[in-house]
Amino acid sequence: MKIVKIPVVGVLVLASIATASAKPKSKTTTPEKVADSQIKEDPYRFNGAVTSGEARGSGFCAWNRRTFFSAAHVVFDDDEMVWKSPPKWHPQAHANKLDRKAAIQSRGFFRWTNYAEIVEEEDAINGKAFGRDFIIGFSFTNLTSGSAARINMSGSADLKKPVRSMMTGYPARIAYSDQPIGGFFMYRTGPSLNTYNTYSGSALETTLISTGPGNSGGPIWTDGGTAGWSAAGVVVGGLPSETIVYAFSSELNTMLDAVSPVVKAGVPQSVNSNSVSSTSRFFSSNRKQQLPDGVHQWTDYPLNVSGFEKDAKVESVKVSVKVKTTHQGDLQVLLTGPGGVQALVHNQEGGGKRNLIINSKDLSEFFEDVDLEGRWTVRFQDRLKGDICTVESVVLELTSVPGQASSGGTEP
Amino acid sequence: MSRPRAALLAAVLLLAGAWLFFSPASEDSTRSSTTSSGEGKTTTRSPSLRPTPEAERALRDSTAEQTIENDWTDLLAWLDSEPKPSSKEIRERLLALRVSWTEKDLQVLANALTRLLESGEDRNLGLAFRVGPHGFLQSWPTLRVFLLDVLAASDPELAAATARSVIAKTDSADEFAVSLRSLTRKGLARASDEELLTHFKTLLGRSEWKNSGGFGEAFDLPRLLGTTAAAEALARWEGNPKLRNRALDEFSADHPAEGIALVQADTPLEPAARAMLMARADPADAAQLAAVDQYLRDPLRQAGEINAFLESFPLRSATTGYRLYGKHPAPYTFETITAGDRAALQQVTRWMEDPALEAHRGELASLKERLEEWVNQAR
Repeated sequence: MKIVKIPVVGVLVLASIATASAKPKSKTTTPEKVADSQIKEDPYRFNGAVTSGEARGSGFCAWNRRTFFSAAHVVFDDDEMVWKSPPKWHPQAHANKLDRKAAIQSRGFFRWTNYAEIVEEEDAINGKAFGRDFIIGFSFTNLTSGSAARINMSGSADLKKPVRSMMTGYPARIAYSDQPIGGFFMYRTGPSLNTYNTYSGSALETTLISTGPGNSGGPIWTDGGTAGWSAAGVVVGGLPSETIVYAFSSELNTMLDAVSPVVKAGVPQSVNSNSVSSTSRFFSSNRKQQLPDGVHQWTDYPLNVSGFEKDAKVESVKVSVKVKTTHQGDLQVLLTGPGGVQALVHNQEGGGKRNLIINSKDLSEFFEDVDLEGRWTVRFQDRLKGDICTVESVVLELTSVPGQASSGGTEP
Repeated sequence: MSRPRAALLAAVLLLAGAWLFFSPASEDSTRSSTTSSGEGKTTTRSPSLRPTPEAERALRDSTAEQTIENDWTDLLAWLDSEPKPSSKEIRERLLALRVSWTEKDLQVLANALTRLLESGEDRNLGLAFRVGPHGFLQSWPTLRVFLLDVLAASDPELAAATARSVIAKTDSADEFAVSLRSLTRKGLARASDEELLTHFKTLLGRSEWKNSGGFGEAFDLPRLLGTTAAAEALARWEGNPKLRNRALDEFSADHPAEGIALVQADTPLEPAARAMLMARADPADAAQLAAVDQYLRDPLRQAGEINAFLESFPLRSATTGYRLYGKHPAPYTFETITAGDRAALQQVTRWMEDPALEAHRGELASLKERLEEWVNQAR
């Protein structure tokens, strides 16, 4: 693999390999063509060209074999606000012309929006268009042979450090030298050591790296050493000597949640690619306490949760409670997680029935992406006078999902 | 027991007794006892060696309230200090404060926040209104918006009561929008659909709010309600067309039948927006498919609108993200899409054979090709 010299950033670290390059020194890292023999190797094999009508861009199959990422502006015109037929995916394109037979008609895509930015547009907040300018496309057929690329969910944090990164894609022009590139050939920009800074929203920028039009939607990879490359974000824009990327973080889960029901029905197996298995822990209290009768005031059972991996997020939340009473309908039970996220466990149901016994009620859907560690509270109210309610036990079962590189399942 | 330990225990007991004797909690219980006797007698205090659970709770609550008030005072002083803290520093401090506050007794927190809101103290923070996970904000334009945001994480009923009070009086779109959130949460505090729609219409009528982030984020409410009445209020609003159409699109992705009902009721809509509402139809639903057929044959529809419809039908691309009121949109599943595609393919095949639709033959052929590929992929 040829390494482009980086005279300013990372010159010391790359000095030994940089001398191996035969190219003249360049101040800015610019795209270079990927050798034909490398197209089917990681991470190049995850790449594909994306076309939508007359527009062309780059993309990469990641997280799941039936999903690809690209830049939103490649496939959607925000000014027109009209959905067109979904984009086409051209896997591992590397030729003067796209092979129409190899093209896959995607079924659709999800894109990130928020309403606040629409109304604020009149104030022209700088760079906002790049904030979350990415899509996840989906198909009902596999978009790559073998596994999909892994996602680096800590991409946003990692890219702000001096990490070894590389971009790949299909530039139509080398922006730095304004040199045209014919056809649809896969190029890489880097690897190089760079540090990115916050640009706008979840977009990061860096200087001394130049891609070019057409590279939008391609991946920025971070080098995980022996674990290989993982996709840390999406190239969304740039200037002749600057590059802007949307960097992955836990907010990506919102998009993955939307696309999961669409692709996972045919791809049932979910795996965590970094081989860290889920962990379940129980937190309980057997403190017996009579609730104030008919008083609209909470009696709390706080549970301080610790012992999970750093930054671990909720995979599942189950709660069990036992309350001795002659009337379930008096009771309201609420679970509050760290940061104040709440879910109703019991809402005065069961009029006329005795003791409230709830076993492992699954409340996971209310606590997606919540940090596991912190204070969880099970809260009780006896809202009607006349029947005495005594809490006898509370059990909270929490299961973690590792917060690092992840994939959304591959075909068995 | 060793002598020093015994002395220590005696000192602790003495302090506890003295505290109980003079504490407000013990006075409260004395007053209560006197009142119930109805004779105005002076009751004898009996210093206890152990604080009652009520006294313990009162002490804990008092300490927590004091901590919140101290945090607040420190925060105001910090915001007013020179040099001014940066936006990033302000946001990070508030995020940390929310975590710290929500770890306290939530009843105490609700009471303390209500008092702080009633004080009228506020600061402009220079931050955007940004929604984060679970509808909580991750960036707040003012301190009052921050307080209202945290309040929603405390006691649901008290938050709802405070929300109604704010909604009735505020001149801030951001306060209005974040307060409204407390009325949308499941449970006893949830307002009726009618009340929520009334508040939404009030918001739509405040044209001076049109550039506020909170105003924009409140457009998630019709999707939460899912009623034709809510969609109609949205469709008839004559403000920012981009905001209106984006909200209508997200509404119809979740509620396609109600979106189609808008078109059938001849609600004034832009042609492209109307085409997108119809393209969201579920072809596996016979009633929706019949509505689509009728729409396609409507002589009043211009070719541009029909082409936009045929290029996207059945539309399964969608937007998502953090939303203020409802769960983030995830409107489709493998099963619903593939069942719809099969039904759509059958319908398109019929349309292809219908001489009345000859004018659209080219677009129909492209649509049929796409549907055939999708149906084959799904096998």
